[in-house]
Amino acid sequence: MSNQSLGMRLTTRIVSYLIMLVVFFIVAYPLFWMFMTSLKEQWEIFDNPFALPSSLNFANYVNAWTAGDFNLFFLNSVIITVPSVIATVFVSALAGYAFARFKFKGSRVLYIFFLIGIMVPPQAVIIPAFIIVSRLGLMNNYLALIFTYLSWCPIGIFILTTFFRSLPLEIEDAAKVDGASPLDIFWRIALPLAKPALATVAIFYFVFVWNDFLYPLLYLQNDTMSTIPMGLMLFNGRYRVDWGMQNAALSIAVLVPLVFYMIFQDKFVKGLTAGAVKG
Amino acid sequence: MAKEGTKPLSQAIPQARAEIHRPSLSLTWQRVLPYAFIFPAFIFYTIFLAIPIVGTVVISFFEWTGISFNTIKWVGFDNYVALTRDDVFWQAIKHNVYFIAGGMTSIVVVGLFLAVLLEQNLPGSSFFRGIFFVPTVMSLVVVGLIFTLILSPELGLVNPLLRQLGLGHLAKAWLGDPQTALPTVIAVDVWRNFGLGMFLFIAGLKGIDAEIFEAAKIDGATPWQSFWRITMPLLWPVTVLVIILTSINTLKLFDLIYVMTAGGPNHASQVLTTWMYSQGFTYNKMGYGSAVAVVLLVLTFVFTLVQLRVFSRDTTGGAQ
Repeated sequence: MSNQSLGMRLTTRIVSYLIMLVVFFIVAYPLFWMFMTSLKEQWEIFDNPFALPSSLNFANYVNAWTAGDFNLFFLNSVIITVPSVIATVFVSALAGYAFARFKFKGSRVLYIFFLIGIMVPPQAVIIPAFIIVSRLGLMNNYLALIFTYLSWCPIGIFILTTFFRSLPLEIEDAAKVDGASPLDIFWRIALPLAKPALATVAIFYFVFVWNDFLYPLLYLQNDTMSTIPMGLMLFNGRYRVDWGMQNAALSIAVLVPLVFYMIFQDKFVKGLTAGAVKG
Repeated sequence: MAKEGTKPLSQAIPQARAEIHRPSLSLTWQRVLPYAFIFPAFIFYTIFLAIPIVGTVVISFFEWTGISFNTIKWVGFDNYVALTRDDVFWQAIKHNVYFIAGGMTSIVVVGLFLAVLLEQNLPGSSFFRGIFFVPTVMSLVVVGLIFTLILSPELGLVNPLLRQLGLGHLAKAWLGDPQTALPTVIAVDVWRNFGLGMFLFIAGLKGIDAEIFEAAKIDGATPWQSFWRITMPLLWPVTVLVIILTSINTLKLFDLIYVMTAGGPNHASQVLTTWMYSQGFTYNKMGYGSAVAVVLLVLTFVFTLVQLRVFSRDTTGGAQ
């Protein structure tokens, strides 16, 4: 290798790192600033927005969690997200398996019927959805949200149908010969084999449900039922001048997805890209 | 079909087991089973998404406050005629186009550039890659509120920084100025979403056979040449995918604008979703709001059809 190309490679490296560092700064600094501000007392924030906090002061977190009702918002988010994600993944797996493995009348029509749901932004149908929910008497009921998130199952169905189709038939055929019922095969063989795909779908739904704002805004008009995103808006109104507390609340809100992301990084990327491509 | 699906699963298993001994019974069961599997998905999807899709179109032909069915009034295409004369509606469309033009272009360019940079696999790139995706897993409400604080006219981060750099004359109420409100929200949207574009491009790059580059290198191609002559043509399907996906995402965008500007100041950042929301739920004009929603539905539908077309032809997406 000639000297010139070695020099070229070195420059490319340096420039690459510089660019990555700049982007890193743009991404990380706002979050770092939020966290630093959440540890400050009010006078420190006014004094110098760039300075590090004078001490590690978690009072803002305690206030946000208790006085600011953030414990309630957190609990509401969990109450809604956990059953929604589990139910949506299960319901999508059932339907996806049926489309992949069973031959039945109308399967193509039904599949296309579900596919339409992928093409529709849920945001565009809020008016009739709101009317249906209020007619069913589900306003201010967590079920309204769980049912709504279940209705977004087409993306999961689409991903899981593709996955089940890709599984080799041999194992299931062998089980059939041994006298296993279709339900047994689904529950004991196909579902365990589908674990990675189920995880992908679950993470995709988790991010969407945990972060959703529009539907809680529509269906939960009782402040004590607020989820985290809604609670943050309430917070922003109530404690407009208390920047320390607002940033503490925002830091708590970032924490859950961030920790999950750090643990399951590859799954997150897979889930969100697959969901985006297919949804 | 609906009734058969409600058969309790506890009954289903023993019944299915009996299949071996009683083939006649199992035949009906086998016929019913697929529908039973699809039934739960079908029912929720139908009530809470499919019927609302039709409902949006139907309601758009009525004048209605949404409260009582007694007050609903058929108006034919009046809502659509009114739309064509609604300045804010056209403004909203214009802003959606700006959003696609500015936000989508930035995400494609930044995403592609970073993907190529990271795929050199320099030491530490997986760390950077991981960090660059963090905004994408955050809620838009959180992102919107963080940046509302950062961009605050008095305190915040941006204006004090400009003052310290001696650029104090550039400091302004970024979200309160009709000139800057929309571009600012677009920039924040790019901050949140470039990671997704980046990872789609990375998946695309991983799908390209490294031998092609080796061969090009032996033939004396410069990195620049091999980027434009090899990488770009092979990445074209992924690029189209990112373009369409990002366009759809920006059309759907609601949270960020609702949180940061609520469509203001004076409609300067109004988009279709926020206009639909305020017509339907602030002014209780359900019919008119639905007409806006139908425009949104048609636009996304067109984009998605193109996307499905591209995706079914292409296998380099690699995101499955």
